Amino acid sequence: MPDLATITGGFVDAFTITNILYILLGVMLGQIIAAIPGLGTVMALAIAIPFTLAMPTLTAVAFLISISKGGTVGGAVSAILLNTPGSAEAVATTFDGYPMAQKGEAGKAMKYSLYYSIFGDVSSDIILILVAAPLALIALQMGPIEICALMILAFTVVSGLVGDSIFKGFVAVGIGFLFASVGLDPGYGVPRFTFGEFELYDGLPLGPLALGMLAVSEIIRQISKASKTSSGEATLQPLKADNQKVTMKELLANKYVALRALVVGTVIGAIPGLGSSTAGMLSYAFAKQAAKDPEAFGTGDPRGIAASETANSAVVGANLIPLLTLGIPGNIGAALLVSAFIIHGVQPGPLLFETQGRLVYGLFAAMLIANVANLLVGQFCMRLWAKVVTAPATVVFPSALIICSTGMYIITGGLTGVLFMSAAALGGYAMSSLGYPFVAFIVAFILTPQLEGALVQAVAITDGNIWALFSHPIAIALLLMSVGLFAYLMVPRGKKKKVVAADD
Amino acid sequence: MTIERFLGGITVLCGVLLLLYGIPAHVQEVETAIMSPRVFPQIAAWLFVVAGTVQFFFVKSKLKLPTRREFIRVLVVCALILAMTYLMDKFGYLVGAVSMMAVIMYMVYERRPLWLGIAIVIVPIAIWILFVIVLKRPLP
Repeated sequence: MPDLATITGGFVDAFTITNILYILLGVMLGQIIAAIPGLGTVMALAIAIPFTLAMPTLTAVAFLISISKGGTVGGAVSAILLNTPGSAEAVATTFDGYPMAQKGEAGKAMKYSLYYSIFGDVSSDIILILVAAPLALIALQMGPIEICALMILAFTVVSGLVGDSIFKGFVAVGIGFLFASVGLDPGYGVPRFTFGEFELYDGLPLGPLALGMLAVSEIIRQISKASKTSSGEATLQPLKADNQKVTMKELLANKYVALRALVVGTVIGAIPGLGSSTAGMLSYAFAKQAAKDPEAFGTGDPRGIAASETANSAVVGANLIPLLTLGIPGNIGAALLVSAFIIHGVQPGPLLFETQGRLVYGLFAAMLIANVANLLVGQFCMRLWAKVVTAPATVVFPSALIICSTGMYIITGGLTGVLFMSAAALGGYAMSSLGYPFVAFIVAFILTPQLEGALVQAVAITDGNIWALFSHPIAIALLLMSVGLFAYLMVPRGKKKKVVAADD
Repeated sequence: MTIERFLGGITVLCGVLLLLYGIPAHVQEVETAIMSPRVFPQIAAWLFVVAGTVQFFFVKSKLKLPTRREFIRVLVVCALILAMTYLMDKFGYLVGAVSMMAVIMYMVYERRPLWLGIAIVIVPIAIWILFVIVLKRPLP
């Protein structure tokens, strides 16, 4: 466990004027970009990563996490005003947010979404801060056999819960293994699939691959869909000044809904593969199911907003639990954060608390500052964002594309990175069009070096004897969980409803 | 043949090709290794074979494929990104960026002068200022 000096040192590091200003800027960018339909938090992160190159590590990570937090608030703006969620996580917010706006209570709905978002965000951050270090300590006690079993479980979860078929998920994981194999073999330095190109000896670069697959593929999809009729006009619900305030009594009236949503968001966020939109939808479904008057949901009931916004915001903090303690990115946003960490020379995982404890606690402090900034910016700027959401997609997407391309040119120092990014974008577009979850691919690509290292150690320790596994009960339990999950997912679709989180 | 069958077949074929040719030809074997450098590519190849077979026989198609027009436009945008980078290298950032934005604006049917001005002129200049002057990262 990090000592008190490390913890306080981290908090002191975060409280500098530069960091606070970048956090403020990050929150504003996150709110604006996520408010624009079609862009969302992931796009905001992707656009911002190149700008963090010139920043110190803590500032860069704080800036990115602030964007992520701002995004959960911003996504609700267009969900409420246009009935079109700015980001996927705000889908459930449209169910009651838009009807409230139609009743002339758009301002009130946005305030509800802001306050419940902040509640979910702060609470899950506190949970993260409390559980991350002890969990990392437990993770450090795990040997290579347990790590292998854990990774197998992570791949099963990601393959099974993201996308529409677990087998397509396995294919995506296989592609991730294959792409991660390119370069020198970590054990013996033997080149694999390098085709004599020295540039490939270090392996395929994560930055262009992640940016291309996760962000640029979506941008080019949107550009390809443009038609003569899509002129980008939008109709906004009027904001009435006299109908905006939300009292504490009104907020507390939905306290149980918000608490339940917090639990849903935190649990979903901590499971790799799931994310904000799943949390929002599930929480909304639970709230409706538990209500005495479920018919009120969908007609402009604040409980719907409380359920959706608290849960989708609670995912942001909880999502860092597997990332910081095990090095497993939970969703697309977390995968982009990993690439940002790696660009700055930081390897997420349980060792992070020992080697970079001050940075981790600096990040925690930055997250708390970002929550305050999120509240303040949301409080004063919501009306302004309501104007921003009318920006035409015909300008927004090409602008995002040029920022990503320029950023990649700078990160990789030339044409090669842009070439990789374009190829990855094309690959990401093909995978998502054909129903292969590219999140599973990215997670496999990121985790393969770690898995390969652990597997080599495990084989060395056991001398290749499979029966030695039985002296590792944790590994056995994790493998049984993988088998159980696989069997559960094999039940035909008609008999159970499956959670689809492709947007996460 | 459904699209899922086609994709399943292609996946199996890729797996078999990797096992029979790709891995032996492009990953050297180390006889004394604790774990061969070929193990991970082989795991990937077997995943392709097994999952592809199941996909071929059991996965039901729910896919809505992009139209041919959409696909061609995707390829054009990717080519434009590369062309922009080439132009950037040869003639400078602003030439590349402005050209790409102009072509994309034409592609997305944006004809309003104000938005055209913002996208083609202001956005590239703003990005140049942000990277070169504010962040001090050199652009060609």
